Amino acid sequence: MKKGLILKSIVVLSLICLCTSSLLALTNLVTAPAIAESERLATLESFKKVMPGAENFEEKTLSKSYDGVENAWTCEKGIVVKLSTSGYASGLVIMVGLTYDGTISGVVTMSCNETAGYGKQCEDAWYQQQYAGQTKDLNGVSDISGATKTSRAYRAAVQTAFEVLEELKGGEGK
Amino acid sequence: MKEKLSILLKGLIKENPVLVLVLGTCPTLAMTTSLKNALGMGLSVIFVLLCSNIVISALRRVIPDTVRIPAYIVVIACFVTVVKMLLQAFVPSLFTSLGTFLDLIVVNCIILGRAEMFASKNTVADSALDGLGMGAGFTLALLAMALIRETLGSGTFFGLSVPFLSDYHFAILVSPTGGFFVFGAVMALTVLLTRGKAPKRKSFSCEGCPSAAICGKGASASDGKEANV
Repeated sequence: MKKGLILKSIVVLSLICLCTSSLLALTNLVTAPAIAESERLATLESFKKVMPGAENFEEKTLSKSYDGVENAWTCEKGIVVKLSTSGYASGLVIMVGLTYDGTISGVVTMSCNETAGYGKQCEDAWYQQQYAGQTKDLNGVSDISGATKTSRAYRAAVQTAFEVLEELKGGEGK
Repeated sequence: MKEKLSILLKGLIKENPVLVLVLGTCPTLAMTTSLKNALGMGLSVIFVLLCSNIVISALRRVIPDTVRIPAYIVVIACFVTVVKMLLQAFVPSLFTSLGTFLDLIVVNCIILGRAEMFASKNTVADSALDGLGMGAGFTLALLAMALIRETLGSGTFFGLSVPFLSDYHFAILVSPTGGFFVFGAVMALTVLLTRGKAPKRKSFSCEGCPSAAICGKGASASDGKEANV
């Protein structure tokens, strides 16, 4: 390959990359606040669903990393934990609300990539509602028939939330 | 003028990228389970296709042949990322519905294919028209398939329940199996509409494909039959 061609290729490709990066940086500048805002609103929405009536949510940093736990917040009634796990597919994101006395105030499936008709039923109201009022043993929760992996992963995630409760409960002195 | 119009309109039915050229089938099958997704995907592709065609056509004499594929991909990826950020900021519900398929627009064969086959060899104005036409054709194909799959498969229309169908619907149509059935059916309909006069030119057979050199199949037996699917 001629030296001139190599140089030209390098220069042109570099310039294109420079220009596209600049365009992306500009777009990011414009959109970042709106993105952060919509994420914040989505989180607030889910708080209302898992722990209705509570306010003053404060995000806490945990002493160690729990399996699948992404964030944890405390409020006056209890804690809310956001977990990301894998059922049949990855991307199963759940918000779990637990009161300080060890019962589930609510769970919400934020997103999932499970199979329609089977694991995807974890997004249905009937499945999520049965968790409300349950304790750590989850005795009253029935699995989705034909979706063992999803059901098991969901249960495990909720039970991990209880582990977080143990840690945060101590901090609140209750 | 008539020539310009034909560049714009050929992408709609006669050389529809999905139904005739059979490009971009992956997002087609995935995003036609609902009309909202189909429309969202279609509009995103129109934007990316239009912008990338314009930029690549504007730079066609500047980009050396040796680095043309990397250069095209960088340009296309840039516009896809811009669309991603705009959607995430202003229409987050659509952003989550489209999910990974938004990222996959980068490797959507339609966009790289048009860059290679058209934008790199024509003026900016013509490339813009081609981008618009092909994007519109893609959207049309997606909407046609989604209309069938959502209304008959889920009994809804843009999420709203359809009176009779919401009780009696063919769930198989929203599964991948059903997707292929509907795809074949709509393709057959297109052949009927174009009266089987699908383009047989060399540019749609192996020689025109960007991967021809790597693929190895293009060297022999490409008599244009590939285009007439």
